[in-house]
Amino acid sequence: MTHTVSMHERARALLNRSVVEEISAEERAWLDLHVDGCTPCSAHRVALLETINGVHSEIGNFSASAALVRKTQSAVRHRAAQLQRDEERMGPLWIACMLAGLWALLSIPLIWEGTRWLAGHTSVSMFVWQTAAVFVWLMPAGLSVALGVWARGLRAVEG
Amino acid sequence: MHLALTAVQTLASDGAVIARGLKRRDTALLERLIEIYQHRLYRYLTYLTGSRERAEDLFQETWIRVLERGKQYNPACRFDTWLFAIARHLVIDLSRKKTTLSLEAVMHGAYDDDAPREFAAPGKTPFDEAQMKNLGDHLGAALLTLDVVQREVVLLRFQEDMSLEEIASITSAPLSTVKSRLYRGLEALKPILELSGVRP
Repeated sequence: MTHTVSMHERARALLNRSVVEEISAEERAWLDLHVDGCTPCSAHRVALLETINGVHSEIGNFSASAALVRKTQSAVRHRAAQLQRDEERMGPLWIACMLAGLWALLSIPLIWEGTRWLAGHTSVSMFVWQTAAVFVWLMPAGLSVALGVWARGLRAVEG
Repeated sequence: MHLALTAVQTLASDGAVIARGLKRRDTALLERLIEIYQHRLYRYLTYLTGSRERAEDLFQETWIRVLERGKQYNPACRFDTWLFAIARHLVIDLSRKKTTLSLEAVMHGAYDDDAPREFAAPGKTPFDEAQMKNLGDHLGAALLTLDVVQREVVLLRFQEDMSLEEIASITSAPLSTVKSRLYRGLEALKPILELSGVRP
């Protein structure tokens, strides 16, 4: 059988493809037929498979040392404990935030009516008492946010 | 012994168990995972960085990152794919710290924040050259002569036996790119091994 240059090129391209991905049964049959009767392409296949086997055989040459594994396990335990402590420290802050949110929700009518009553007795303008009501209403949430930002900054500095 | 090995294999393949443990920051589970993946991760990092010392640092850092980001692990994916992706990002971060972005790349818009994350300095560095000597035999040295992006896919495919899809997921590259890197990597590797007379 006469093999043309394009046949060799096709065979080599198929050989390369076959080790990376699936090729069709038709392509496989053509390839096997060609390679069996072609010395250079057969050599190419051997070289390719040896290369792959060579890469695979490198596995045994790299092992993490027992000391590295122990050190890593210890570092992970240490970091886990640190994260646990951070979370515990953040617990009261979350509770404070939730309480502040609840307070803000429940106290809207109370603060509004309270400041209006006060305004009525001190004859301040509507703008002033309404601004005061909003300010008082937002104060717990503002404090919580400030505390949160502060705690986050503290964690970043410590981390 | 056989029972212990089976338990380890079950753990490695059970994404849901791992996801639950990572969510709880279960250190006992993490310690077992470190043991299971120690050699594979270390090997991957060593080849990627070309240095055992850097690989050791990154090995530790990778597991700390696994602990910190454990809640993000999706049990539908294989754990090793996620682990290797974390390790890869750490290698990229390290190489970015060491390499300043060239002015030319900025001027020509070659740098794109949305682009898939790649190594800042792909290819062989003088440091790699020096490390090749330390890595021992011809095959290790030959692998290090490959461009780092080709080396990575060759290792993931033929050492770690990962599928093309898994490699694409780790490298954040399209499947076609993974394939072409594999072809180029193999093509580049073959003559080097032939020249050095390596017959595994």
